[in-house]
Amino acid sequence: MNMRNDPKEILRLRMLEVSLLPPGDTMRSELEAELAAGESWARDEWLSLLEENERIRLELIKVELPAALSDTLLRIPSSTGERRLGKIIASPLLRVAATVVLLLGLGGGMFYVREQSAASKKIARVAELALARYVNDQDISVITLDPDYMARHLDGSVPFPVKMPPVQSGLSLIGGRSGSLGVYPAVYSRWVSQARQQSRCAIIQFRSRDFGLPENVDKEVVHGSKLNCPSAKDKDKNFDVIVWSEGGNGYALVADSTCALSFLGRR
Amino acid sequence: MIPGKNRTKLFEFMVRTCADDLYRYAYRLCDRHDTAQDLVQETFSEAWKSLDSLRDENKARSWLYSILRYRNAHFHRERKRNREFAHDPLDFNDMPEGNSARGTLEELADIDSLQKALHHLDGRFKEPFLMVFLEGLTCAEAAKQLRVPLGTVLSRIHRARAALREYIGSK
Repeated sequence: MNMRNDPKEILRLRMLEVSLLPPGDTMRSELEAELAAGESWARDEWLSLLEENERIRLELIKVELPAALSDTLLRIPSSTGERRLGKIIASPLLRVAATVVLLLGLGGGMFYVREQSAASKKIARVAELALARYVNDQDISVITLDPDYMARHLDGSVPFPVKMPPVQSGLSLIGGRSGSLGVYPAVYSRWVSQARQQSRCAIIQFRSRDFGLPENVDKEVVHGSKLNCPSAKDKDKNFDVIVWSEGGNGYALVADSTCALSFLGRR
Repeated sequence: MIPGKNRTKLFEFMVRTCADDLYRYAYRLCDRHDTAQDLVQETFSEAWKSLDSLRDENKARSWLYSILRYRNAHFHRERKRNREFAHDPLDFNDMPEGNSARGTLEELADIDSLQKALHHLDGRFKEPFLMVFLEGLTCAEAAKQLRVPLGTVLSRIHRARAALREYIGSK
């Protein structure tokens, strides 16, 4: 008999799944009621399964934790800047200077903060991640000139359909791969422009909702020099990142600042 | 319920409630204490930077686990590329059963025996297994996150459990 059709095997698989549900779960209670009225071999297997689960859990959590793990992690916010200013101005000598600088900067700062909408911050975040990805990691897993072939090849490796935006006719695809942008899935593609002396660029596709962006956002150019990306600053180049979304698909194009916008085709 | 809107407070809450569990998960996943510590640190650094993208504070725990999984996948890609961390412990499974050298060597090397059993599991089997037994997801939730059918997760857990049974049974 095919294992898949064997009632015993079906019940075993069900027991395996249900035994991992917490006590009191409806599915678990139903199965337990069924087993209570059923054959004894199933009850015995059920009990040993539960016992084994418990032993596995107990063994798995026996991990020696590093000393002061939490303390190290709790220092992350201060090490990334938020508390640094607070520490500096806690020094009495610097407090006056900090106040003067603060007052001078306040006018300009308030204006800047008002201007920078929540959407712009999200776009800047995407641009920062895209630029870092472009500068640090240009690997591709599929080499092709055909965007449709790449889309078919990468289909299923990210939880959204791969769809490249229209680009200008002189721009050729080199290839791409699936990966992540920050912590979210993304497709990375590399392109080259024959017309612009082999200028290269990357287009990264992601889900706009992963970054809290609306389904459709007009193209926004973010200058690389304004982004916090030390590895880009080390390069002897200026980069621009163009971020936009179309129908829920988010895109970030990273290129040399002299030609970034010219790479995109008209819709 | 995760309290407060304040970034720092929320972050501290996440560290205090999830760091130890994430560390256990990372260690079981990657075999090494130093790598596990790096992974957890990178996870929380990324979480701090992206905290604004966490829309539901009640999902902070599963959010952290997904960051950790991404970081781990990235780490493995890098390791494959660099071949710097040639961590390939002796394959005790090749030794005949009942070999007394096995236990002695493990004791000498201070190797966690359960970890050794886990080490020999392919990541495809280890990941759903840890998601269910350590992260506390149901099989259906693990299947959804891994984007594989429920049956696949069940059979992978079944295989992982069978591989570990010998060790668990001997305790």
